Amino acid sequence: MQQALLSGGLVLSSRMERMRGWGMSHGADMYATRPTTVEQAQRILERAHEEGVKITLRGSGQSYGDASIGQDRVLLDLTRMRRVLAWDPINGVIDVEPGVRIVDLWHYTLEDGWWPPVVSGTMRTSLGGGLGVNIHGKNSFKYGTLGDHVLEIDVLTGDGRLLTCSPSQHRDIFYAVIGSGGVLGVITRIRLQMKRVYSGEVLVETFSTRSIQEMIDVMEAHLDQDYLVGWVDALAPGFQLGRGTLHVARNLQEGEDKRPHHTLKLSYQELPEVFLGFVPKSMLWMGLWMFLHRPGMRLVNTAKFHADRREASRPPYRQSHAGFNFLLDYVPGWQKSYQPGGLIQYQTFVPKAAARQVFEQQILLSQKAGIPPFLAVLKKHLPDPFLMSYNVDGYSFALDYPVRERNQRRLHRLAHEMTEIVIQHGGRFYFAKDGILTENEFKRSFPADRLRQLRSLKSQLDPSGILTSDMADRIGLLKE
Amino acid sequence: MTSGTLLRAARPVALIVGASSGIGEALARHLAKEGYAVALVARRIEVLRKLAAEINQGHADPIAFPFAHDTTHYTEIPTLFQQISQQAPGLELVVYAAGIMPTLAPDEFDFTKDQSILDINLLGAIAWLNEAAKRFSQTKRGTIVGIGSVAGDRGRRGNTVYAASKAALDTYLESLRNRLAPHDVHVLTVKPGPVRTPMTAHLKNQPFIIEPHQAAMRIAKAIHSRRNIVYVPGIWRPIMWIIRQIPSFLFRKMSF
Repeated sequence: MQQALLSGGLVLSSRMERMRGWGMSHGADMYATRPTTVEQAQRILERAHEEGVKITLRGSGQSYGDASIGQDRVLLDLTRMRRVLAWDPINGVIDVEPGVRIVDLWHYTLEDGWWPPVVSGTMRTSLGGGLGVNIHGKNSFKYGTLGDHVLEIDVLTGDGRLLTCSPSQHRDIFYAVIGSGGVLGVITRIRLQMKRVYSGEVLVETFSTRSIQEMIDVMEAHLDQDYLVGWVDALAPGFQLGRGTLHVARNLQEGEDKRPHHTLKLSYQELPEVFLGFVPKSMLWMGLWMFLHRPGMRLVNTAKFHADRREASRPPYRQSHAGFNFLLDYVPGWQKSYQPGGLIQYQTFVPKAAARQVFEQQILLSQKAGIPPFLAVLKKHLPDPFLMSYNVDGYSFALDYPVRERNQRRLHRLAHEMTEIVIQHGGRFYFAKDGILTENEFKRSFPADRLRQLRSLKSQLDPSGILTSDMADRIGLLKE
Repeated sequence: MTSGTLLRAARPVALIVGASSGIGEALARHLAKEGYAVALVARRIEVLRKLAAEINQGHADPIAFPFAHDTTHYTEIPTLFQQISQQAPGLELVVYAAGIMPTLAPDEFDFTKDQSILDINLLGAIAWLNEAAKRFSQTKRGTIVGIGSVAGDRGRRGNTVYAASKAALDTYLESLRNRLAPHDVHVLTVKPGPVRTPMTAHLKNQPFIIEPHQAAMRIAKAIHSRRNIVYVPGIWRPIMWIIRQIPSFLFRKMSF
């Protein structure tokens, strides 16, 4: 059917669809194609080449901004390539197609005692998309990025070749394709090393912290643990600036869990279906919507801070992997509570020494601009070996801002102000997220020799420049 | 200004067919000032190039894109429409402003003339706006604008087929509006009275005549407020309401 569909040309015969970034603040009209095999994807690339049209790749569409959309481009949606190709439960090595999502992955492997090495805050992320922007998780300070655990990938290059790349084979392509936002080629197969777990639970400890400095200090004292994630109440006024909650967790050792066969069951990992005993989770975002303004969020944040303080006074407790990792899935479609403008997530990575100062300034500037972030998350990171790495040896601060008709200009001004401070302190940006970083800002924050290297690979792998995205165009990723 | 997302980097694109003179030209200039990029379509490419150059003045990257096309070459339209959307991505507004109004002697019944009026005023509009309708019904957004006329509201003795072409366009647009409403697509019918353009240059003593830039401003306002029908200027709405009430046996005895 796909072949017949393409007989009239990609653009003339494909249906147009309105695609949005997950945060709903970015959208684009695209000619939708959804291949189910590598050959079909290959054929779409060929046709695009013949017709002189450009292609933007998309997985399950979970990135906040404009990484998976391209205005009037051909959409190459990989969600229908979603098979597990091979699974070795002895060594924990799995081969999957790019549309396989994190949820599909652990559903397949957990009962054998394996958990994905790195997961995002939602389990809906596809592995192809997740590698395209090289995602990280709450264990970033110890386990790095998702790309760090990939053993091998097949890449369909822009000019239609199929290359197998790994840290030893086509090394430069391997380290460039992962994390460059889908502008070099399509990842069509992923071989991933899973992580051995001896229980379906992690041991969680909660700390209530009074400032960002205190949070960082507590993090530094727990580097032997597996997960560190800090929530900051960015609406708290001056004397309570930077107060928050730190969750520290570790995987259980062999033998610590007396009933692993029970906790490793998929049914044990299920997130709650109803809240307060009767509210279905699919309706929760509507309730959240009522609080999506400054006084409302101040109330919610203050309530959370104090509830966490009580939790912090209790001894450590056990929580399922899914329950601990996938906070964003507790309220499905919660981004809809930001309607109609949507949200952006602005995440910056700052070296250790400057982190506290930069993040505090970000909160102060946001409060001064009258747009405090409704959610602020602090994580610790390691440098990684990928060409387009956003990581530094330090910390990241992820801030969720509502986008409204009346705050657009202020939000742009605020983002640019905060960006200058980050650049001054040698920080980097997760450009797949914010959707607001400009070409000039990006190029001042990113090493020029790496961009040259990316462009040289681009001319080898996709010489006619078929693959692009609104994100790549926005930050001038491929421009001189 | 945009019906889509708030944080967009690029300008929304307005496609204007019949952009070389009159209301089309004025609308192109006005929309460019409002922050649109404009794709300009007309037969006379030199005129369009000059207009595009004027609009592009002071902009680092071009925001006006000229395309040569004779709107009676209907079969070219689907391909050209795609070409335009590739070269100027982000289409949000399509305006069909091409139109002719040849003078008709009191005893003239010239079929060739009549046919060319229908070709340009009606069939060209349908060919272009169908493409727009197809795209916007898939993307669930966008605005379609057709330029009718107060002349279409009543069959005067003066210009038979011109009035008929505008009446047909009016009905086509209404039908399009009803068809596209479930897809959140906005269809605007513009009914101008006399506007000082090359089309009306040969006519004397026109009532309530306005300049093209005034018309453009009013049309742009109607686009943003998602109006269904807008009379330009507004005084024509009550006037035409009264004229429509006149019974036919009286109307045929009146001098206009």
